[in-house]
Amino acid sequence: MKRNKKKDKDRSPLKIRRVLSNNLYVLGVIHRVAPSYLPTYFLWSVGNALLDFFTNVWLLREIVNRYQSGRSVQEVLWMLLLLIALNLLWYMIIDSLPSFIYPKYRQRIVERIEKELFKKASLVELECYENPEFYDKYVKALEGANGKCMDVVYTVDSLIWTLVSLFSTGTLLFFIDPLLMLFGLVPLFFSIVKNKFNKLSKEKKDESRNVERREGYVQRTFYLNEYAKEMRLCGISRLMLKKHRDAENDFRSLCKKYGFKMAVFYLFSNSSSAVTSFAAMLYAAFRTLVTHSMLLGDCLVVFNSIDVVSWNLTRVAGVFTQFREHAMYIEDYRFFVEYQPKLKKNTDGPRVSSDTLTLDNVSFRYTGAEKDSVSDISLSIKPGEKIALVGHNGSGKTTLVKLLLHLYEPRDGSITLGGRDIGDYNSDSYRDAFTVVFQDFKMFSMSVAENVLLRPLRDGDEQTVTEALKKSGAYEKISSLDKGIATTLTREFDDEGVVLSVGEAQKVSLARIFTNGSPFVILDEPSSALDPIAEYKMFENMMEACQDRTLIFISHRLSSAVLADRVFLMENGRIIESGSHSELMKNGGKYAEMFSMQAENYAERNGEVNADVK
Amino acid sequence: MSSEKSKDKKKDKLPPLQVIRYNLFMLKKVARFTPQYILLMVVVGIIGGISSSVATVFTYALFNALDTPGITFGTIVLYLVLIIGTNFALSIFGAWYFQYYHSVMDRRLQHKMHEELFEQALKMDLACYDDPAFYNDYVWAMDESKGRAEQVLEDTERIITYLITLSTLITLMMQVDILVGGILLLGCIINAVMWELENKIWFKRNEKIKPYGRKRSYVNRIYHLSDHAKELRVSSAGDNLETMYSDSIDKIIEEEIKSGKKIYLIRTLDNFVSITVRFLPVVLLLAKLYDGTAQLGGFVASINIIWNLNWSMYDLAKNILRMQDNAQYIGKYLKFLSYTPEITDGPLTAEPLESIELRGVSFAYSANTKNKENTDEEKEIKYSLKDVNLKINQGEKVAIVGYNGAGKTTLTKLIMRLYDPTEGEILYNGKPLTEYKIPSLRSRIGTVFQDYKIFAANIAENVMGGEVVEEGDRETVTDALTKATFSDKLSSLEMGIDTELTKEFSEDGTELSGGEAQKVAIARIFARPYELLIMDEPSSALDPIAEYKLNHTILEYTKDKTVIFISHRLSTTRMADRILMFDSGQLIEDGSHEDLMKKGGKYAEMFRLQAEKYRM
Repeated sequence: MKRNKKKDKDRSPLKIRRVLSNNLYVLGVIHRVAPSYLPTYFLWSVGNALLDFFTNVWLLREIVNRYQSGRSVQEVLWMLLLLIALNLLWYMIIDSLPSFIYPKYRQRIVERIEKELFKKASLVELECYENPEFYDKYVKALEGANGKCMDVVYTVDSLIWTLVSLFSTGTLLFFIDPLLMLFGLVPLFFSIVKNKFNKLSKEKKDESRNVERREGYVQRTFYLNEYAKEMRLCGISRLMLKKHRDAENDFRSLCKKYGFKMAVFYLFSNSSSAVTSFAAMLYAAFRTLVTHSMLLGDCLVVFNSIDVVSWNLTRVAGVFTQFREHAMYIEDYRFFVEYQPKLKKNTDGPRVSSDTLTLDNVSFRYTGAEKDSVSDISLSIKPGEKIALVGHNGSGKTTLVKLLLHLYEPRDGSITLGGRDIGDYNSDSYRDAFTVVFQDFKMFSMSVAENVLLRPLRDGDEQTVTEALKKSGAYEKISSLDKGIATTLTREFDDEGVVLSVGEAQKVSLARIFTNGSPFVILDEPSSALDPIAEYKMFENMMEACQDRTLIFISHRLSSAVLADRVFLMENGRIIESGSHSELMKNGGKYAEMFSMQAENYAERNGEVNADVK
Repeated sequence: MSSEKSKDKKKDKLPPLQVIRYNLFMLKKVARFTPQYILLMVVVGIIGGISSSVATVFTYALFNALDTPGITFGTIVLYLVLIIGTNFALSIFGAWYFQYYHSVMDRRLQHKMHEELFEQALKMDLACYDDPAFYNDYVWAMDESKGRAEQVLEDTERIITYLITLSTLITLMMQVDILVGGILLLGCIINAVMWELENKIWFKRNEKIKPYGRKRSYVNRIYHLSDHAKELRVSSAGDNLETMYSDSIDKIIEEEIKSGKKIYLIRTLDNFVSITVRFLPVVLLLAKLYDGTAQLGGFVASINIIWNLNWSMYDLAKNILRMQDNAQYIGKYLKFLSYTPEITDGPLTAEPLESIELRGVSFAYSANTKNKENTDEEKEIKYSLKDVNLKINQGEKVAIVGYNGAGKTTLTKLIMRLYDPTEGEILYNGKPLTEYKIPSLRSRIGTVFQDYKIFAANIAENVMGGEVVEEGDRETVTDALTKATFSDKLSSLEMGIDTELTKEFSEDGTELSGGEAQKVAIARIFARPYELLIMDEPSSALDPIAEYKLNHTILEYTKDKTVIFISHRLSTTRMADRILMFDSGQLIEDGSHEDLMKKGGKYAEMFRLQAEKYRM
């Protein structure tokens, strides 16, 4: 929280020029997507505001004044009929046109804005996700973008409406009596009070954000499935309720802190405009009744519209506040869309073929971390080699793999493939050369087949996927589903979607390695959720499928390391032992110690099992 | 209940009576939680109505006076002072009400409503979470309850205000000209019907768009969350997502245009009526004016009222329509509140554990979900446990092993009474579980689940599962953490057991790694005097050495306790007295490690497979 606050303070308000440029930027984007949207929409608002003025203000004045000056009934009637006709034309034909013309434009605009973000989101280096400040901006951009961008249009619309109404009413008042303008302008001086009020309410809102965050968390613990068991089985729910109450109490003190001041400012700014209108009305009544220098129709305009002027004037100020607010969001959006990823997408480099991967003194440190996650690692992996990365939690295995995948850029040292820096290759081709299954793999809300392939389906994929699922051991389960490999996974939006158990999901993810012949396969804890038999079968199939592919796998369970050509044991970001399983066992180092400890649990006291096996 | 459900399926709008009933229900609820608030709200509504009526009457009188010969300027001033004066007096009240009272009471109301929902949520059977329809409604009710009660209040307040204002306006017009009054009244009614029609179209449209909207926000979320970030980078899954996104947009546009055309027609008609209602009286009154049967002041005053009337009507209609929305929500909210759990307390208090016995226990998840009649029509029921018989005595160390999906975790959930068996029964000390008070059972049985959760509270609170006030508790916590082999990490934390976990509440919170978090979760069962400990895959996130250490400590500290280990790693389980091998929901082998190895059945096969890989 402390950091959040500081961040908000650091964030100086945008310069006027930037506010303008940000809003224009969005209008530009919108205009490019749907060129006819903005002009027609704004024209429509002008028409609307003008008709409103003529019907509500001008008409009554003309009728009354004409009657008072003894004009004929025909003249008044013609005028009335003209306006009725205009109203019919507008309201019966034009007014509702946007209801079926605009949806297309609006959705396309949102689509463009969001897709722009998606595109960027998949290019931004992974490290950004770990940088809270960047991530914060990024989430804000994604969440706020489409709404805020459309809001710019609506704000411009309301600005147009306000200006037209202000201009037309103002002109009329000016012609009636120039002095009246003064009454309209007085409330402007009170806008300082209004500003103070707005500032206070913004401060209160900012401070209550912390309360909301706490409430939100408590709510989630009560309704999310993942907390359900613990909430029922232990007393933690009482504690959560207490936290909820604390939040309410904090909010109440917040109200006490701001309530009185806000009430006073509110009252002051409200009554200031009431008093001014009152004065204007008195002035008009005086001229009509006492000096007889004003027609009744004009007096009426003053009575009905003097508020409108002051109200619209404050609204103009409000509109600018809105633009400023939009600009803040757009700032995030632009920052993100215009952000140049450190890892550039390479589109013209050579394509990847199977070759030797070499790490030369590679170090890497996460932003803000105190020590390197990967520290001075040099190694080289020949095509077709099977490598096991082992070590404790947090020893840097996963980071190393991410570096190989070019998800991060090393801080020091270089990673080369066939002697060429991996960044020099065509990015898509480099990506396609690796088949990866992560430890924290996630199922997408797509069909089983798409989850296996993680790319759009093509002809003949059905066969590939079925084969792959058989090899990874998931086929039995998947074929028992009504729609087989076309079944949608998760229930995100398909109520008939299937939620797989962790083990089954892992098998589905693992099927990916059997779908293509990519030269490199990387597996991060490939079998953590599998039972021994499934694990055994999977490994057998995998070794077969990877015969001439380079395979790098991470595992806690040293039993699988036996299968590797070479084992790297990592500790604190360094490789402390390397060699084949038998070499390392002979060395009697850390690896041997770890292995014996795990094996001990399986060793049979009287050797009966060993005798039986084989 | 059932009739409501079928309605939900069709997603029809609620009949007007139901709408009123639901809204009243909510008002009653508010009256119970915050009586002063609702009282004040009614007062505010009435004051609002009266004040705008008074203002209208005065304005009417004022315009009349402007044209009446012989009225002095002083009278006008008086009228104006009265209008402004009422306004100002109300502002004072409004300032206090809206700037302070409203926001405090609003929060209190929200909290009371949430607390009621929380209590209900805890009572809800876990099975409800497996029923997506129920769960969706439930999450929706939770989400919406924020502010919905307030919405009902606000709408009621406004409706009171507008009804008073409108009736004053129409009565006034009736006095002036009965025909004009009649036209206005008729106009009100026709407009209301049109609004209702339009609203229906919107409602249908929103229902149709909803699934596509969900897809869209799903894609959006995928790009937000770091969960999928890696996969998106190492595969072409992004292409699939973008196609999904574009298809949804296309569908949304299609639906919007379709409904937009209907809305266009209705609005055109509606506008025609509005224009008629607005201008016909003007024409009529103008005729009277030229006839000499009306004064100019009266004419102006009347027109002013007609203009005003249009606005009030529009606002009233908006508020009444929102009552519809409110009712939709309240319906779901009620459904959730009136849900009665199937898993209920019995009369007995659980005595110290002697034995747990399962007799012919079968369990199927789908069989327990609420609307089985709809979903599971002809599909055969899939049993997670099938006819299990077993007895565990005090002090035994039992391991439950088997492949994924063998029903191991389900067994735990049944013993904890998170679910009840579909068939058969579970006996605690010889009596069915259902006869005991649930809290008394749960105070004797401690569980660590595979998918344990760490809460945003400090370490001590996480371990104790509640507030830690007594000094003795602090010792218990430290002790429990030591037993869970967490002490190394603990000593590296500045705040010790007062360290706040997770970053939910504060940026300074500590995020534990998977293995550390698991140890904290394990400490929970040491912190309380549980007699039966169930460990569901307790060491899955630990590295080999930590796992090894932990297993030994657990055994050491649980000598006199009954322990059930659940695992598919047989290295963990061979130290148990007794091993229960499950396969596809059935108990297939039962005996000590040596027995089962000799028997050479499935367990032996599984063990050998794992052991073989460690042979040197």
